[in-house]
Amino acid sequence: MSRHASRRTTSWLTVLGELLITAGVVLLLYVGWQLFINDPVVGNQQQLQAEHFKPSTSSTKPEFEKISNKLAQGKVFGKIYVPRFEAKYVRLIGQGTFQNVTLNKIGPGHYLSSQWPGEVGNFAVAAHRTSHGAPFNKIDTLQPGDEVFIETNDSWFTYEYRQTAIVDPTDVGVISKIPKGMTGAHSGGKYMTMTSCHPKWSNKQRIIVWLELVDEQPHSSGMPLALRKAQEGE
Amino acid sequence: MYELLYRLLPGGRVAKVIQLILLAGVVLALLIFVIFPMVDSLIPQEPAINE
Repeated sequence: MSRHASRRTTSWLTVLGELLITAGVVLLLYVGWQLFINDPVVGNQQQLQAEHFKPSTSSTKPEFEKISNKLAQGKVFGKIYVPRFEAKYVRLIGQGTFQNVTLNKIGPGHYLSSQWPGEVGNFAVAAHRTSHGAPFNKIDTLQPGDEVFIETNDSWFTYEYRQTAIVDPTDVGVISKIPKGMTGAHSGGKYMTMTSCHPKWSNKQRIIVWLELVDEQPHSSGMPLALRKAQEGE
Repeated sequence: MYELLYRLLPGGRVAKVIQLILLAGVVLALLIFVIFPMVDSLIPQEPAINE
């Protein structure tokens, strides 16, 4: 091989090497952006939005029932508080689970086919575990004794943790009125289901957390004492 | 590739380094504010059960 040909080969190899190293650096930057810039920034925006959102209040119970049937996809109707995730964790809940309308824009989304908070049956909510603010990033940390609070315009609902499961994406029974696979679930029970991706960064399976309604109080009575204590770190 | 870029930039060594830093900044901003969000929206992340 002539000296000229050898130099040219080296040159192309150098360019290829530089391109591969650049691609590696860009991929690392993407992961860093996702973990340390995008999710924290979007998550913080969702937190602030939820903190400033005031559900229109009503002293009469039927008020929510009146509006619930007319809720369009992406319409915000309540808030979810999960002290286990963070003492003051709060996110808005939008209607529906369409990604571009609710999950990617608002955060947690209510399954259209599931019941409303406090109703007999199953109030089911989905949210991203990674990306788009990752509202349910810590869903796997929920444990017995944990409570999740739902605020609507006329009520506060307290759900208590019951069980976690890993299922296939097609296991629709987990969000049915009597959640399939939930130990002790029975007709007439008032449940809540939280769903998200599993494992993180994958669409392969879903992580499911089931909770059961343990308390309900009118919105006018203010934030539940347990939530207030949790937020104050007691 | 980077060697060629360095040679193509005008000025002395300091000027070249400053230009390289500025270029890197522009590329980084482009990645953070345009490319990464675009890529992110293309990656499927489906947290819902397939109803």
